[in-house]
This record gives sequence, structure tokens and C-alpha cells, in this order.
Amino acid sequence: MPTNEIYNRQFAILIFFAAMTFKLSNLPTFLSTSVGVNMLAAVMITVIEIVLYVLVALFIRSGGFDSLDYAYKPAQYPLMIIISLFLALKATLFFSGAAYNVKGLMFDQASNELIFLTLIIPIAFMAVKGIRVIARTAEIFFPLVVFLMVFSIAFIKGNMNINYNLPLLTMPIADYAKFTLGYGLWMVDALPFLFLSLKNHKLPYTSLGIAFSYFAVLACIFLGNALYGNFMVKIGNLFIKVNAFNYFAEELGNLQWMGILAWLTMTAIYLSTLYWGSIEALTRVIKKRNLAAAIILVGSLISVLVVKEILIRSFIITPIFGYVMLGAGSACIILALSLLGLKKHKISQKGGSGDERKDNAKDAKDIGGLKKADL
Amino acid sequence: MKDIESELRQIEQAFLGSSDIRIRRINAGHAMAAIVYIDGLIDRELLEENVIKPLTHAEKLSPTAESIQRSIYYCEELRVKANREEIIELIAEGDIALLVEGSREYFGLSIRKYPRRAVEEPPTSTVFKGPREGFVEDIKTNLAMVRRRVRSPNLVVYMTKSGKLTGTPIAVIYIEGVASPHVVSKVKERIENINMDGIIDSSYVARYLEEKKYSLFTEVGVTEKPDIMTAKILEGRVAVIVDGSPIVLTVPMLLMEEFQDSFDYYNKSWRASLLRFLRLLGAFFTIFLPAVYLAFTAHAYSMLPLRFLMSVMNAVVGITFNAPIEMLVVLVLFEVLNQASLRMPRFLGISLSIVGAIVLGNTAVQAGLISSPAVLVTAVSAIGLFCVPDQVSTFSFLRMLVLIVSAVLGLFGVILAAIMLVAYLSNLNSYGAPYLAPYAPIVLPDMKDSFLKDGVPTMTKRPYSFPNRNRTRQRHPDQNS
Repeated sequence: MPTNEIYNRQFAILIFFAAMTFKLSNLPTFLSTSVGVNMLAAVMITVIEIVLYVLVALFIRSGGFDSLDYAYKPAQYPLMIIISLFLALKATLFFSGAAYNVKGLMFDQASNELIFLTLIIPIAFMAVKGIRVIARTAEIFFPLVVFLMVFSIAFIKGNMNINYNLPLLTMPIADYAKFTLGYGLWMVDALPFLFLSLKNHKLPYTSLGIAFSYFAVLACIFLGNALYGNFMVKIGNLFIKVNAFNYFAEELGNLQWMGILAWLTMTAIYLSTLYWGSIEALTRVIKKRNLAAAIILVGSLISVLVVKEILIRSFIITPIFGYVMLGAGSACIILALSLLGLKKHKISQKGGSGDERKDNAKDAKDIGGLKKADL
Repeated sequence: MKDIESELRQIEQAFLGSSDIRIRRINAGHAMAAIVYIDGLIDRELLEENVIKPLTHAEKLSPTAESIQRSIYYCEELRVKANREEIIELIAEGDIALLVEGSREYFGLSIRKYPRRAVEEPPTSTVFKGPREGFVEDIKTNLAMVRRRVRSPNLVVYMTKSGKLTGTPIAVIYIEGVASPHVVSKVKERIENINMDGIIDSSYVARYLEEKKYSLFTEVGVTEKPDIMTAKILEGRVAVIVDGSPIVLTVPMLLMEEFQDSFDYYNKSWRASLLRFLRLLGAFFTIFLPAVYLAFTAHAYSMLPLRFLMSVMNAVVGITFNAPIEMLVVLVLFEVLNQASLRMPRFLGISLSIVGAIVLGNTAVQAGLISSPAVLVTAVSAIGLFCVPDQVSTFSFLRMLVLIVSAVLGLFGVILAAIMLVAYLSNLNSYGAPYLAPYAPIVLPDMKDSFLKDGVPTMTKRPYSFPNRNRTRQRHPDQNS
């Protein structure tokens, strides 16, 4: 079974990929359809995401699932099943969305099946090989993705007008909340990371990663609004379309390929993270990793092959679905954290005197094998 | 020993009557003695002068090791074997067996002299500056070259043999206190576990040292130069020298090593960094250029700049094959020419280059069978291939694979192939070292000797990317004062 321990810095990169990939693809278009081109909805999503990430980081730092050791089985098994289903569903929907995006952008003539079957190969490989492989792959592509993003943003050729961003409160806050929370599929990015354990906790990469990633998301949506204004409702994949107008277009051609390269890479890495999380959760229930991987990946592939694109598209933007996704995802994180807190509390409450009490206190501190030296 | 003649018959029979077995009967100090050896493996002059002459001139020779040792001018300790099988093994290895009437034991002397190649510059690792010595096929010469560079008792040479029929000597070399004991024991264990009839070359051993059996990439470093090997063991790697092969193996291995060259260390660091980036670019061109060209021209031509697109379109007008077939044909032609030029006698190589470049390339373009951009792209890719000489076969295979993916899936396929390649490399480990280190995971101290190379005085620590001991290589220059 592959190890789930990665470096703090790698976690920060994964957070960046998770934050940017789908929040900058179709979400800005959906948001502008619901609440217009202003930033409040994006800010609300960001705040929720940051809170959830902080909870997950706390969970990881306290030892994560490894320290629970299948304690509280009646609570853990249903929790694992829900996490696995949540992540598998999210991965499947995004996988299908990514494949249709690819088809629309660069491969009109190809059949859906061909795209699904080829796109799944690197994703499945990384998901099966584990988070370490995903993290290392992300580490290699990170400088390239950042370079391509900076290049495309720095040389945008268009009439940018920041006034295209509407004032924040054009609607009552309750309406913003109602519409924003309906996009729950695009939230709870932190959930798969519950299964991580981190090296060198002390370094501030995780917090920097969260802060930088969500600042970048907000900045990109802000720039997108400034560039496209109300036309945002027609844009589709903002991440790629932002490359359409560039000062170097005459010399280098249509630079959308740069966006495609960066986005497709991030998509593969993020989707493999989702699938990996789902596999990890299911493995804790059925105990056989290969079987769990086969169930999730084959199930996901069959689903996207069978279900029509139009159904998926109309399904994911249904507000009820969004509320359920956000609620279920957040509840999983909170429940996991509660179980860990409960165990820690129980250990510290254990009686005994002298050495026994010292051992218990040490257990509570080193829960999950995290030694003081690691912290 | 019952009877010397019967012993000699038994030894002859053990060698199945081979014609190159020589037996020399002599009278040594009034006792019958016989010398058995394989013709061509020993120094005949030394045998005559240092062994036979003193023995025949000895006035009295008792059949003991001490007496024989005193009688002959032979510097090494005489090896005494209790049974016939052991002495037969020594003869097969190229030693001399001495049988003395009345003795219960057999005696072995080693005055081997093989035909061997002189030390010269290896053809695959020529340098402008720096040492030009290369390893040869003889393990003792190779070990001497290493010992001459590392004059320390901490340099450990562990000798073993492998191959049931060949009995090939293999040396595991490392520096005690620097190499990781875990890596050393793993290497030794894997070599001890080889159970095949013969080890002909170090590449046989390399296959057993690799972590993944069917890996596309080489997981064992190779070098033909003692200076490179020395540098590697000084970093904490373990080297393996196999008798009969000028290629020395080193583990653990990182992909980054393929982009490093000994010349980098004998040059200014900015120059070395530039060269390493150029090698990386060469590798990228090799694997991806034909595929990217094909993806853009056949599938995503709308993304090309207009003037470039017009040039390409003008060049491909009237070409018989479509772009994917054309590119495949050109690449296959290149591979065939490459193979032919490797195997052809050297004096015919120039003729082959002319045939390849002018007759095939030029004529095919003029005949409208292939386009000039396709030839250009293949040529650039082929040149790039040799920027990383140890991965030629892997890169060549990947180039063909990515090209086929590109032909079917266009730019989408090329991007997927790139992701898959990086993911595959991320999954490789060599003796506890991540194959893509120091880039994945990022190992900041080792960045000093990655694509950006720092000067030698600043490399105060041994690499962190792979397991080793005693990280300090030198005190920081400031600390010396």
C-alpha cells in the first residue's frame, strides 16, 4: 500500500491545483449567470473553502485517520463510505466535464468514448500509485503552470475595465448565499486531503498555499470579469479563453494551447487526487486497495460513458445538488475532526498514576505517531 | 596424493581433454613435480624464470608449502588447496597448479597475463578538458585506476563471483562511512542472488540491480570513466565493476545524472548550467518535437501563426503521404540508418551518411514523398537524441510512442503523454532515491548541482536526494580561515 506522507510544500502545490482547476474553468460563467459579474459570490466560496482547509489542516496535524486506527468503527465506516461516494461523484462529474471541454476545444471529430478512455489513463495511474506520485507530478508541472498563467495574464491584449465588476451588494446577501451555496460541487476541495500525513509541519507552506491559491482564484475571476464583463456568461472555460487575446498572438499563433496545456495538466492532477481520496476511503472499508481502485475507476468510467452530457450539465448546476454536496462534504470534515478530538480527549482523561499518566499524556501529544520532533 | 600421474590424468579428464591444457613435468629437488595451466592465460616468461628454474635448481625440496615458497621467486603467498576440485577451479580461472610427489596438498600460483586493451579515452565519453582515461575490460586495471584516485583505507572493494560457468569476478566498491550500509547490503545481496550460467557484461548485472524489472528508464547509472565513478562514490553511491566490461555501474541513480557530464565540473558553473539546459532541451526535442509538429500541422493548425502555417503548407503541398504516415516513414528511416551506421565498418560510415543525407533525404523531398519540414524536424530530434547518450534507446522508443499518440489524438494526446511520462517518472525510485529528485520532491540543497550548477567550493554537503552518510564534504570556505 503506498504511503500517504508527502511534504508540506507538495501539499501547498496540490491546494493550488485544486483551487485553480475547476474554479477558473466553468464556475465564473455559472456564477455570472446567477449573480452577475461581481466578486461577492467568489469571495463567499473562497471563505468557505479556506475555513474547510483550516479544519483539514488541523485534522492532518493532529494525526489524521491513521491515528484513529479504526476506532469508533460504527461512525468511521459510514463516514468512509460517504467520503468515498462524495469524492467519486465529484471526480466523475468533473471528469466528464473536463472530457467534454477537451472535445469542444480541440477535438471536435473524436468520439466521446475515445476521449474518456484516453483521459482516464494518466488519472487512473496517478490515483492508483498514490498521493506521493500525484504530489511529485504536481511539483514538476507547477513551475510550468505558473509560468504559462503569468505569461498569459501579463500579456493579455484586451480592453480591461475593472469597473465591469459590479458593486458587491447588488442583491441581498441572502440571495448571494442562496446562489453561491448551490455551487457546492465546486467547493470542499479539501476533503481528499483528510487522508494525508505531512512531513515538516513547522514550515508555513500549507498556510501560504491556502492563502496564495485563493487569492489567485479571486484575482483571476476579478481579471476575467474586468476583461469580459457581462460577456462572461458566454465564455465557458475562462482558464483557457483568457489566452485567446495576447500580444504575442501574431508571432506565436493562437495561444489557447498554453491554457489547454496548463489546464489539462492541472485537471489530470486534481482529478487523480479526488479519485485517490475516494480509493483511500473505500480501502478503509473493504480493506483491499486494488479492488477499491477497480470499483471506483471502472464505475466512474462506465457512468460517464452511459450518462449523456446534457444530463450531467443540467444536474450539476441544480442548487439542491450543490447544497447537498457542500453539506455532506463539510459534515464529513467536521465529523472526522470530532472523532479525532474525542479520541484525544479520551486518552487525556484516562486515569492512572505516575508513569501511566505520563504515557497517556505522551500518547495524546504524539497521537498518530507524530513525534514532537516532527512538529 | 596417491600418484602424481593419476592425479594429472584426473585433472585432464576434468577439462575433457581440452587442447589448451598444458602439463609440464619437472624434477624439483629430486622429487617429481608437475605444473598444470591453461595456455594463453599466464605469463610464460615469469613461469620459466620464477617458478620452473628455481624448482629445478633446488637441491632439496620437501613437499610442504613453506619449502616450496622458499624455493621459488614468487612474491604472493602460495595457495594451498586440500582437494582436487578446488585446484581445478583455480586452473580454470587462469592460475597455475603445482603438484609435488609426496604432498597431500595441491598448490596454486597466480601469474596471470591476459591479452588486454590499453587504457584509452572511451569513445562515448570524450571530453575537451579533464581526464581522458577510460575503464578497460580487465577488472584489476579498473580497480587500480580507482585506487589511484581514492587513496584512502575507507575505500572498500568487496569481491565476489557470479555466473555458474563463467565465474565472473564482480567488485562492489564504496567508501565506508559515506555510502549507505542499506544500499551496500542491498547491492551485495542482489549480486549474490544472481543465479545464471554466465555474466558476459555489466549490463547483465545492471538488470538484476534495477528496482523495477520492466522499467522504461535505466535505473542504474553507467560510466566508462574512472573520474566520474570516483566522483559518484565520493557522493555516497555504490559502484559495481564487472570483469570483462569497461562499463561500470553505479547506484542509486537519479534522472538528473543523465544531464550531467564530467566536463561540467571542469568548467565555469554558468557554462555548465547553460549546457545542462541545452541537454534538457535536446531531450525535449527528441521526445516531443516530431509529435508536436504533427499535432499542430495535422490537428491544430489553426493555432499556428499565419506566416509559419503558410510556409509549412507550401512545403507539404503535393506530398504523397499524409502528415502522420510521412512523419513515421521519416523516423523509421532514421532509425534504420542509425542502426546500419552503428554496425557498419567505420570506413563505410561516411558513405552511409552521404547516402542517408543526400541520396535518401534530398531525393525523397525532391520526389515529393516527404516534406522538407518533416526532414528538418526529424534531424533536430535526432541531434537532440545524442545530448543524453545513455538514454538513446529509451528516448528513441518514447519518441515513436508519443508520435503515434499524436497521430491519433493530436495535441490532446501529446499533453496526456507528457503528463503520463512525468507521472511514470515520479513513480520510479532507485534504492530509496526518488528518480526525479532534486525536482520532485524538491531537495533545495541539491539544486546546487542540478540544471543550475553552482561552483565546486560551494558544494559543501553531499546530496540529500539519495541515502548516504556523513553529509559534510568540505567545510565552508569561510570556516577555513
